[in-house]
Amino acid sequence: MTSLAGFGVPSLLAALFFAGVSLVLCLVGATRSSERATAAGRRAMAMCFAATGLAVVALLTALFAHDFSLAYVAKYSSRSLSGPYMFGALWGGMEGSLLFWTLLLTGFSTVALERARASTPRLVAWAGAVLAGVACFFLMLLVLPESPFTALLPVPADGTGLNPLLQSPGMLIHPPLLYTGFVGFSIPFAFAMAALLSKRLDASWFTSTRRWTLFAWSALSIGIVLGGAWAYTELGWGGYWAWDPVENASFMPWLTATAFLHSVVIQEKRQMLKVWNVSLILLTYALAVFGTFLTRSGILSSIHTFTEGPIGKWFLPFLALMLLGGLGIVLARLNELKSENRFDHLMSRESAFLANNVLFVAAAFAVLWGTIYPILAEVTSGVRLSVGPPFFNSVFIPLGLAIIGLTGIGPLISWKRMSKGAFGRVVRVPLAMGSVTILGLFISGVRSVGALLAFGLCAFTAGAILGEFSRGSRVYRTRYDVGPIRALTATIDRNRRRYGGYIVHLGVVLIVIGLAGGAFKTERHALLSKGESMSVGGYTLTYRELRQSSSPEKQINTAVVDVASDGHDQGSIYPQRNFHLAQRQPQSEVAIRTGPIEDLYVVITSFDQDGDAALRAFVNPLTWWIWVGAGVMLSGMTILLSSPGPARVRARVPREIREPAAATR
Amino acid sequence: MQGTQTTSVPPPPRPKFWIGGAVIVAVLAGVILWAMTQPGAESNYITPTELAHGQAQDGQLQLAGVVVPDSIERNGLITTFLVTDETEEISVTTDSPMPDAFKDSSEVVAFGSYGSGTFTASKVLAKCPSKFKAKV
Repeated sequence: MTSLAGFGVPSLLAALFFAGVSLVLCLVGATRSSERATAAGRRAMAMCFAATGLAVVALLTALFAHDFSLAYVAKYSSRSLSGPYMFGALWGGMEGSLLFWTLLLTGFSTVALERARASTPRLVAWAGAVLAGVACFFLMLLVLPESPFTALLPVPADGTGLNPLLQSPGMLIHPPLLYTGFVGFSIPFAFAMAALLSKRLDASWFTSTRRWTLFAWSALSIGIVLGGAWAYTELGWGGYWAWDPVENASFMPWLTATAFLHSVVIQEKRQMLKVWNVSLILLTYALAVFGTFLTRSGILSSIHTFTEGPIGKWFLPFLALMLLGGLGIVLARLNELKSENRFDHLMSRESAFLANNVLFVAAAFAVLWGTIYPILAEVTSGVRLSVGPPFFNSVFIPLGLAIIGLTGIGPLISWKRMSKGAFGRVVRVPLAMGSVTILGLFISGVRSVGALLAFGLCAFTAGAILGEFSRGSRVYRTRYDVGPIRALTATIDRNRRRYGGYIVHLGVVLIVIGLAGGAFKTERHALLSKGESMSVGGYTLTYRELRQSSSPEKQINTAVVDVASDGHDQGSIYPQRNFHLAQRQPQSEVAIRTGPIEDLYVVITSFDQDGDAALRAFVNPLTWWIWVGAGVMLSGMTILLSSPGPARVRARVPREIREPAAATR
Repeated sequence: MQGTQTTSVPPPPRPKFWIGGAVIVAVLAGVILWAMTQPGAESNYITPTELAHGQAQDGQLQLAGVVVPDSIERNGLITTFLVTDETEEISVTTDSPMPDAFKDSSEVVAFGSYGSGTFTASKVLAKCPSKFKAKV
């Protein structure tokens, strides 16, 4: 044996031991107010992280050394699997992904507890206890029912190999980003619980963890979009989102986390909605754990559920304990969680934020309903059924339209109350832009009410956001006499939270434009002999020939398809249908010609010995904007994350005050 | 919302908020209930045995089972195959593109309707038999 696999189980046992020690020490530190015990608890968490890291290294060396004496290695890798995808195999199965989850959890916990020592020392003990408790649970799973280090006898000569669908660069980034998002919410969750347990219910629990929340939310957002991009480019059904239970599992915590990100602003500025905020982060984390459970329990059939394991019976009690314990402590602290202000007026920033929250939570509830309704129906009436995309689309079109409109209105309204006249003045230009867009589209023949509303609201909201940028930079220009670009970048730089947020909103608008384009997609499926043509959405596709070749892993069948549009020759595209030898499975490689106006998307669905091929072709208008919008969102998130934290904001006050403050730290 | 602190601010129009909130919640609940009635929002699973014994229902069904080996026939865009639950076999015909994992002994779910001995599917999902334990 050339690998370090032998270190696996002892490392996990050591990690569990340190997590237990950390839990006990943090509890002692919290209840006895002992800083020494808390500090030792923090160090135990760091040791737990180190031990978990060693277990990950052990599994990785086993994968790279093709140590098929481990069942996990034999099941998820093979000798022909190329290097980078060994990392894919690390989270390709349940045991490995739980191990990866735990690595992230203990790593994030170590860093967050260390950093919180300075900003929120009084919350560290309880937060450490909560995080160590969660780590104990996951390590227990890894030691008892789901060990990635289970031996396999007899040792096979080669492994089964990773599912070819997962051998794609997107699959190297998508799962870790989702897990980073899921696990990242552990930190704000733990500090919220710590605030409740220690009765320190000021804003410090969420201001000091805001970067964690933003970081987790950003990772989850980009992870979800990458999952969609992977489905679009790999699965070959012409879409990017199928309302699959596991997609829903990642979408639900995203929705509640988005609500949370907005509603904490009300608490920060106006000391309101305190119960709501702790409940939202509790719900977000519960949904993140529920997402992990759904993905990994096999309770719902889904293409993502690659493994069906017995861990449901472990996860459900854990989830129940977390929810009931969390809700219990919220109820016990209701008196301390009273709002210090009231809603003054319907026409206020507070109401806009509240409306945002209602919509996002309703959206999350709708997804939850559609996802668990089949389970409820089976348990209560024995009927096996499933809830399909028509349900989710019917809910999300109205909710999404309301949310996108609110994205435009919200930032225009002032805190406390706004007069109708003032609102009218700021809303005039965006409203005109929205109306002109709707009118223009109507004249050019668009009749779908949903699409008209979607594009109109997108124009409205884009106008509102761009208006904010122009107002902000105009103020800066009149004051400092600089060029427009300088003024714009300086405006963004000086208020990164605000303008970073607007840039994220702008990205969302672009994504919605891309989603709305789906209303105009066209699809054709045809069986073609060589030389025959089919037409789809303005394109004429002519099937020329089928080229066959082979590599050690697969037989490659490439169709040569000439593209013409309005009689103009536009070159050829080359969809493939390959046969993977190790998995004995065909896989289609989609040919996509993408652009801002529309994507041409061609798949070979089958071919026969005579060389006749069945081609499925889609024209997907505006899909390109989804990925561009995600890029814009990412740049906004980067600006948000680079905004000074609470400590640095204090450091921005004049130097003579900053110096002594820095000395005391 | 449970603000009890008295401030110099005039008392807010509280009932308005509650009525507004109730209306919003009612509308959202209505949207969800309405969405559940959309065609295709809900579809029932059915096994080959249930279909063979005449327990066919109207509307959108999902036939779940395993592809009988050597039963797959392709004729142009039309694919015909037998689905079994180890007790009964049902013939499925579809003109939809078949997923990559579709082959002999694949576990499949066919979405469609049943009539005169044949299940006509508009979409077929498949799980590869080597990766998934046969369990329906």
